[in-house]
Amino acid sequence: MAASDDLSSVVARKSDDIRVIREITLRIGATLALDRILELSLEVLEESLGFKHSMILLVETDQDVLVVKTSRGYAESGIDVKVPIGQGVLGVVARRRRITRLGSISAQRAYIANVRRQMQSSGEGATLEAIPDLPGLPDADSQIGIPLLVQDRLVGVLGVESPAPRAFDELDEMLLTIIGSHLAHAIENARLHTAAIERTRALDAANAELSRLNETLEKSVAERTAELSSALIDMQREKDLREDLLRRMAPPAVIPLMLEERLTARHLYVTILFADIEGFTAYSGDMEPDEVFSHINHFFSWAGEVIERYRGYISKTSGDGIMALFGVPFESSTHQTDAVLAALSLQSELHDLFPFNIRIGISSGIVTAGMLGAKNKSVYDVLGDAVNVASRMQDLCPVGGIVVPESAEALRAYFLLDSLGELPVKGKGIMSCARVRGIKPLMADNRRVDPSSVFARDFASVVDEIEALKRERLAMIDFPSIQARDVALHHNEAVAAFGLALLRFLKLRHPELAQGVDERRLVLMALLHDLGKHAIDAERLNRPSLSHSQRDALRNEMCVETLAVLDQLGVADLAATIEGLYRFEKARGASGEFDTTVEIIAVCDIYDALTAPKRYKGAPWQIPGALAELKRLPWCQIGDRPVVDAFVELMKSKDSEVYGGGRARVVLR
Amino acid sequence: MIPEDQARFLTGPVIAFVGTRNGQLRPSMAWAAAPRANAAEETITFILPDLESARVKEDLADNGLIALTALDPLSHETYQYKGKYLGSRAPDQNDKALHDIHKAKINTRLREGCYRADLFDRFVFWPGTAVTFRVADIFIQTPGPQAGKRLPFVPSVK
Amino acid sequence: MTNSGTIAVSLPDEIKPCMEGTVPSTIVTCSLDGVPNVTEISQVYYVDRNHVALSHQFFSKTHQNVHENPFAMAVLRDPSTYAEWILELQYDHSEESGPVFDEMDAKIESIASMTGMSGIFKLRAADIYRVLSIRKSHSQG
Repeated sequence: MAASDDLSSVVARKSDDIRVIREITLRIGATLALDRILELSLEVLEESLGFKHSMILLVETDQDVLVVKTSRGYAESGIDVKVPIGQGVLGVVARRRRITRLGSISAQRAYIANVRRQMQSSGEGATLEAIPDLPGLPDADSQIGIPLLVQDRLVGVLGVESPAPRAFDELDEMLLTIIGSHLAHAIENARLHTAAIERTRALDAANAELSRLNETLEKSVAERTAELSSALIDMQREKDLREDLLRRMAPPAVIPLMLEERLTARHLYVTILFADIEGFTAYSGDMEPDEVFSHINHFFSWAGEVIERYRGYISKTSGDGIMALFGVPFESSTHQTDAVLAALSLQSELHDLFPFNIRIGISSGIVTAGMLGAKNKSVYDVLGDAVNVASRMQDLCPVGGIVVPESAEALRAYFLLDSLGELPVKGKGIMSCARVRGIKPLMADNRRVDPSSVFARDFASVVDEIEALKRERLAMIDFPSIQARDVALHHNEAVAAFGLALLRFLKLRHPELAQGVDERRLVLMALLHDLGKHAIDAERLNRPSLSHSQRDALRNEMCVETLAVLDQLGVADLAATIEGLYRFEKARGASGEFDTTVEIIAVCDIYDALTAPKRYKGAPWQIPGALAELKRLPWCQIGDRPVVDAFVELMKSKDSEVYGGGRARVVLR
Repeated sequence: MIPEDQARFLTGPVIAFVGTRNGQLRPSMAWAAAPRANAAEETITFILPDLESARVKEDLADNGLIALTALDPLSHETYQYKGKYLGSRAPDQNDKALHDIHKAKINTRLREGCYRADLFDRFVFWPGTAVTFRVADIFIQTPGPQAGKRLPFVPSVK
Repeated sequence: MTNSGTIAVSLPDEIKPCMEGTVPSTIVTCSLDGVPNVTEISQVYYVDRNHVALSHQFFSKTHQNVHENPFAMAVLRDPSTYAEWILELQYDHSEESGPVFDEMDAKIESIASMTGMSGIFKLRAADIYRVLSIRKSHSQG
């Protein structure tokens, strides 16, 4: 990494880079026209980064060939030139789906060309392929090829080159990786949008056709067609109006279906949240009506933002209350925990902004979801028992609280619930209810921490130290909403706590190993190590079984996105160790590097992944089993691993032994 | 007899290095200037520069095993000569002349290929020692599928 | 291969330009029966601060030697000045897959496909070496 006297210029450069990324995102995000997106991207690359020669190729529909769609900095544009996948830097980047940077192309080509000549002169020339004709600078000495990927699919390739040698470095690589990701998604969105506006185009074409007919037919016929075309115009105007209203009445994902009138009522397993303002009449007693409206709307806007953070949707407001849905319009794996976490955030952030209190009721169940209401006055709504239950929970709720039916077993694993006993619920008779106190704290979670362990007895204070550091350095990150995506509640804090305790434990047992590992850096890295998941589709994170390549793709994306987060926080100096962590976990510890920091974080990360409840992993491991599994992992088979042994000593139950014979059963990440 | 084309190759514009090893099998290397073969005696003599050759000298004194690799910087035609160290002597005017010619030939060759002859000129190969070794094996080392092949050279001198 | 806490030598940033394949490097190894072997290689790859990698493609005496006797010496050259760095290396292990292999393979495959040599210039393994020592040479006086 850069020497300390270069660090300030690296930091300055990184700030510039972040600004560039924002600019690109804004500019290409502002348009959905594919051609414009491609042109703008290359424009920004030149204006802001000085990359003079660049091109974007997109995959042809049969997936075996790339086509140059736009280029910049070349005498001949090369547009529509085809490049077979596998040929040249860009073709190889497309085939391997990995970024590749070359810094001395001329020298290396000359070297290989020599070998080729030797082979030809010694009579082995028959087996040689032809030298391909590739678009780009004929004398480029440096080049970076970036695959443009959306989920696992290759959309195209971005290529940047230069006649100078070693013109690009690792920072350029990282920056272009991030830009490539934004570009890929922008291209994908543009394509989706194009499909959507095809319909409008068809309508326009029909209109044009009709007006043409209008001119050539007799008056009576002309009158008739005039009627028809005006009806069409009315319909289109109505459709435009509807689209606008629809956006206010239904979740965005559902709108295309509504436009095509394909939206049918569906049975969904969802979670419903009701929240209303307690004592609003007293609070608003002296206000003018428009002031009251303004206050309530302010509250609704803020609540809406919090709910959206947890991927929920406010379906309606009535008076001073709101109803929010989680898990619509498409099934979500995490709707129950998302709703409770949203409620906890609402309660904890409320008093920073508003002087009143709210009561929240939550319930989950099967509902029928669809457009409900009179023909032109329908809204996306849900019907079902769960709606009534949620509403009643809210009625029964103590001020400032969150109430759920006690039968919500799934929540018990993650949250502290205080039983409220059996309460009368209108329309349902008697129901057991519980109040949600908060996320289960680590020390109280017997599945992750054994109360008789050395960790619980001697290192419990690390949890508070972690919280203090979080408040001090990372207050701008909303951990719960990121962790909610794969229900890894308090995972980062747990890894940090285990890691800090383990480091201190190592200082007592193996001081030579712990030497040179900085406590603050370790804790920061543990807290930030997987925040890249904020940019990854939640359903993908929760998919139960992934193939080897899907797992690799997910891990790579997670790494890239996490590094982007590190950049934005100005802690890019942690990047090398974080990359080491991902390499380590990908190679199952066989990557040959045994950096103590990486090993500590990896051990704690894997342990928490095994023991914390997590949807897609089924039932979590019990602590003794998890510790035994750690000792069976591949990197522990190579030789003595004092870090792992110390961790087992730290976490195991007081009077037990942990044996690690046999092959590991768990698959990492 | 060392084959004639080998002898001729060595006196061309070749970049050359020698490799040795010490008693613990740790290898070292140094530049070699002005190599030339005595075909009949099956020996090669070269200038070992004084700069950066201390370990090589120690190694030769320890076990005498030596390998010299010479290559044309443009075509990458490469051969490796392995053998046993015979002795050193102080260089004379002939050696100096051969050294100057060798460097000049390399400069010309590098310029043909747009390499930085001026940068190569910075290397200091003089003063040095004239080192001679007996060749036991010759290998093709030109990069490619032939690399590693032993040339049919059977030493007639023991 | 235990992590016994040996002092690791770090590659400085200044050496990175020498590791892009612009100017060839030289490597010397030695077989178990004591015969040295000197060869020119097109590129020494940077793995991390304490490790470098060599590509194993065609038959290579270097590859064979280090499997018997892991010690090697490499000379790397700066493309702008031809200044030399002398590295003492110890062969650690070979990888036929994984991130280091992938990165090398991608680069080699790219150049090979540009020159119609795909399939011939195939990377068989990435040989990973630990850096034992590093110093600047005085060969330029």
